Amino acid sequence: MNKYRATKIELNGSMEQFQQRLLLLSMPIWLIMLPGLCFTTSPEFTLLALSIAASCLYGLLQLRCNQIIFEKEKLKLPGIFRPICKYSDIESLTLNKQKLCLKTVGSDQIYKLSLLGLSSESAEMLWSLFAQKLKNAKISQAVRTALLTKAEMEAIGAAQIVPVDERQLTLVMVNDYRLTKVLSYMSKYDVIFDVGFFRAWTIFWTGFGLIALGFMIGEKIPTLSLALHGLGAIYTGTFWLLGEFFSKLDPAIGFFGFVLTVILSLFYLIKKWMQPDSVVISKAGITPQLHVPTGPVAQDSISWSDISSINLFAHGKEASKGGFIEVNSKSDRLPIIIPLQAFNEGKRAQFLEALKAWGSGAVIDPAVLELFTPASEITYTELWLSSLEAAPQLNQLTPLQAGDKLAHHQLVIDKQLGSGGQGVTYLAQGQLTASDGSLQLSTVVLKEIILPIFIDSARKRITERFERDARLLKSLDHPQIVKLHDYFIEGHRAFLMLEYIEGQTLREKVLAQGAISEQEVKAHAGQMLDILSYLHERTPAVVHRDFTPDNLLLNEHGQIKLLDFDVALESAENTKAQATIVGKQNYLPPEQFRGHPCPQSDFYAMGATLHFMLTATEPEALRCSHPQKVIPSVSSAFDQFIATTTEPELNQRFATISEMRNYLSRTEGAN
Amino acid sequence: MSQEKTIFYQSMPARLGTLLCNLTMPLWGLLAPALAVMAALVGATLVLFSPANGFQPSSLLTSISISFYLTILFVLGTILSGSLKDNQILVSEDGLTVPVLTSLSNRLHRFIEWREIKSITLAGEIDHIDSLKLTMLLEQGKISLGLGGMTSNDVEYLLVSISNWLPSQAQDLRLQELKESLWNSDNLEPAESLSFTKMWEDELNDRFSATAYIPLSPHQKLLDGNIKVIKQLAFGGWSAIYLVQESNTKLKVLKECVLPPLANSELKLKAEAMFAREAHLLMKLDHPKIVRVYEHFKQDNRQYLLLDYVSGQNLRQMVRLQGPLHQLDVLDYAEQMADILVYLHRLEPPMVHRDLTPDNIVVNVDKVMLIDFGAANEVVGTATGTLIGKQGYIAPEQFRGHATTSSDLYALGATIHFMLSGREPEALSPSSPKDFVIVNEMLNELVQQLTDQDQSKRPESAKTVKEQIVAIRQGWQWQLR
Repeated sequence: MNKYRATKIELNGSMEQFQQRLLLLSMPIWLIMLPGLCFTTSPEFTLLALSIAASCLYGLLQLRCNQIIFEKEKLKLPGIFRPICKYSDIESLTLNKQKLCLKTVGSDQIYKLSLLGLSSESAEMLWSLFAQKLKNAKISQAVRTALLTKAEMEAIGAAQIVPVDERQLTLVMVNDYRLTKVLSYMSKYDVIFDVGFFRAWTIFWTGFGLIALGFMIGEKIPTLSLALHGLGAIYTGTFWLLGEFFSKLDPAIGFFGFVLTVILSLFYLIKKWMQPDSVVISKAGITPQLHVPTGPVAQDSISWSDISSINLFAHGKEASKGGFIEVNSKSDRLPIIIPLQAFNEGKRAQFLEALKAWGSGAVIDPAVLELFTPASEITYTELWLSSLEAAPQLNQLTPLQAGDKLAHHQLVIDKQLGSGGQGVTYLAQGQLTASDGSLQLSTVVLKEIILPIFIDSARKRITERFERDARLLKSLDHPQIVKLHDYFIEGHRAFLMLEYIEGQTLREKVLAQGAISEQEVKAHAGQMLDILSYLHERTPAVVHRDFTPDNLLLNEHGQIKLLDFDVALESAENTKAQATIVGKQNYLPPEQFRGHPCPQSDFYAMGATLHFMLTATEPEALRCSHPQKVIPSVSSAFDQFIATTTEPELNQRFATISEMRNYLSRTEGAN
Repeated sequence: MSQEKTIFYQSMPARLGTLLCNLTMPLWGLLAPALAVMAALVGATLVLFSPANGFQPSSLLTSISISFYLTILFVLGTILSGSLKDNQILVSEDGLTVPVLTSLSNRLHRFIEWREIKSITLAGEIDHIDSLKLTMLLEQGKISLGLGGMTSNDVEYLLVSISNWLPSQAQDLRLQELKESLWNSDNLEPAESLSFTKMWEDELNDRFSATAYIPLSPHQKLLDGNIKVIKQLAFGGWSAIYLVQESNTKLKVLKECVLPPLANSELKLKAEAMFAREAHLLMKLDHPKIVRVYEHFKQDNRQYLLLDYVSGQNLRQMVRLQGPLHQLDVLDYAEQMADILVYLHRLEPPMVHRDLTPDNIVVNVDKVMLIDFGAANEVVGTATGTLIGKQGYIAPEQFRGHATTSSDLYALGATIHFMLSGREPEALSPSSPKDFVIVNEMLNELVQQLTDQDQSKRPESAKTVKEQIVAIRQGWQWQLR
């Protein structure tokens, strides 16, 4: 099911493309006419005709096979027989006189590829494919430099143009749509007998045949001649020589046709002359021009200060082909229209530069800027992100204010409580179902999380995680863990409705009162172990991952309560910002930092918290904490306890809660 | 501007038809027009050179009709082969353009707007992708696409486009199922066929997470309308990044950081001052490989930094798309990154970047550009990545809160490891790409030295690192198998 599409890289340059097109277009002549002539005249002529036909055929095939094809496992090299190399067989890739030399394992044969006709995009692509596929081949640095500088040189050429005052940008406008169409068909040479090529071919050859045919019918059948006069006459005129020839039979028709054709083409030319054929963009402004034999004539100039807006008109399929740019002036004039076809890659960059330098007063459609900013590659991300632009405008969200009401539980916001990495918390009043089933008004804490508004898929993912985590949290029931009453999503906000507990966090307490006595800390440690044992004994074990002084609250009864859980915002919680401001990384054990938290990680955080309480100083990250070093009065036994809990190596840290309990009770006894 | 992506689609009948057309091409493509021309010429000769009394209208008619029918044959052959060869589906924000043959059931309307699609159904077994058929019911007509005719990457691309742009009421639950199954089956294979869905999900995780405040929305304006938000590029926690347009002309990137409301006011003032100081330092930077910072301002209690807009892929995206990078590429990029560090560390006082990670390096062709500054991020937070993705790039001493210039070298080493091996470096341990891929011995050693846990054992300065890289490049040796 893993289908793989081969990548083809064209080695033909513009010269080769031209040759190829010429050969294809003249194919009937050399493929059918020449062999046909073989049987008619002298042997010399036969030989000549045959050799011409053969060399044309060979040349065409050679040109058509001048690509490198990267398949999943192998490489197809250019040449009529398309030699095949497995990637694993390629030994080395070197550069020799502008030619790429490819050597395979176990054979002396060296394939040589000319890089002269390679375009810059192809060169870049070729390098990236070589780099991807030939990881184990010896590639000389010269190859990389050659391929990338090829890409670079043209890229620089495009970007170098910084508009200087004297410098100007001339865009040649392609006005004749039909002509462009035919030309673009002609250029689609890459698939033999592509629709486009066929159309061009048909136009060329059948047109040729039909001219003759139609002319003859018109001439010779009296009934048709009247109806076809116009048509025949145009053909006559177009092929004046032909017309001369036939006019001998009926001079009047030939003459009429010639005159008509001249008039028609004059008419057409004049019409074409009326339209500007180029646009000059300079410091003065945007000036459409018309080239007449005496030189360019400016048509309708708009100065930069007079430009009100620049817009892009392009829709749906093949946007870059049919689209155009409209330059509107502030005064009441017709806008200038520049077809997008007039811009090639380099001109786009120049135009952008010009806009940056001079067009600061005009309102520029962001789409113009985006279109003209040289795109590195349309990546999946870019395309996906473009959906963000078109996202529907939703009613403006504003932060909740005191007095705001929410539908769930008839909540009324009291005030904003504070904010952490997880979001803003509010104090609110709401209806809660008491144990006896009656509704009861009580104070709760609301934790708010803003869900992404514009990106459906991101919102879905975050919502799912929020609900999963909230469900887990709701299932917890312990007197020392803050109770989650409910969770819900309203609009684009997710809310956790938590029990309101009065008191201060351990950090607040330590900052206000300074270090806490060892005796008291030990009592707290026992309570913390109660909380942790409850969490870790659940199946699967709940690892809190953020057991820090900020998340532990001491109420008036001296009871420790665990406040916060990494709900939904796991990642935001750990931003380095948070880390710098409150120094949270000091509580982070190495294995959790590496991304593999386990129940023992909470021990480390707890040890670090105890250290903080004892000493009122931050523990040092990734080190064993020894509170005794800061406060000498701390007993050695308790110092050892904290050191063992904050051991960076997992296997040297306490392994279980009972181990810690035993240790604590032992030291208690010793004291 | 809507972007288009081409998906190649070829159904079995079309493939057979193409083969037939190609085989018979000389008959209808060359012989037919040649004979047509000849018949016409014969007719002309008949008319012109036969004596006036011996003119036979019947023979003229014969040659005309032969010529006519042959021309018709040629034109038909052309059209048929052209439409059989039309094997592209263009997918864009506006809609789908399907191949001619497929559009037969839609009255030959090739372009389908997303909103035209009423419902999409998926028929067949999800495990056998060749048996799957996607049917789109339109307002008038319908379109069927056999998924067997596309490569699996293209299938995913189509599915993701559908889930992005198709109104949700028209979606089919089975599409999601299919997307997941594609994702899972491809997980087994390394880089080469990395699933698009997986990449998109990763990208999603990287860029967007829940916020604690309300980010700006597109079309919102700042600085008296001088700056207009075009789209959100990333957000999470207390910060966001936007693509904006300045004074209606230039595209720029705006980084937004919010200081949590009601935070300790002293801390908040300190953070604000730090942010301003860092911003001013950044605005002074002038190096072609470092993104330009233009402005720093504060509005509605939010801090903003205005930067240049740099287009290109960052190293993480590159590795995600291409797998591990080629050693020659890695050396080149590493040298350029070392250049940047040399510049930063030579400043007075030396500037420690603190956040050199694959996400912050954008590569365009082969030019490296540094687009983000950890120093400023540290003050208020970063939206570009989570700590999960970044911890491998943080030197131990930086983790302890004492970042030095040597910490940047550690990050450089970790980034080189990531580029070479395509794997996240293990946090707080030295990296050795050799364990995963074949690497030049000297390069491997350099990475090991750079990611040494002990600062004193790392190379002295960015300059020595650069010299070492240059030395490796000059004496380039291949280490094979």
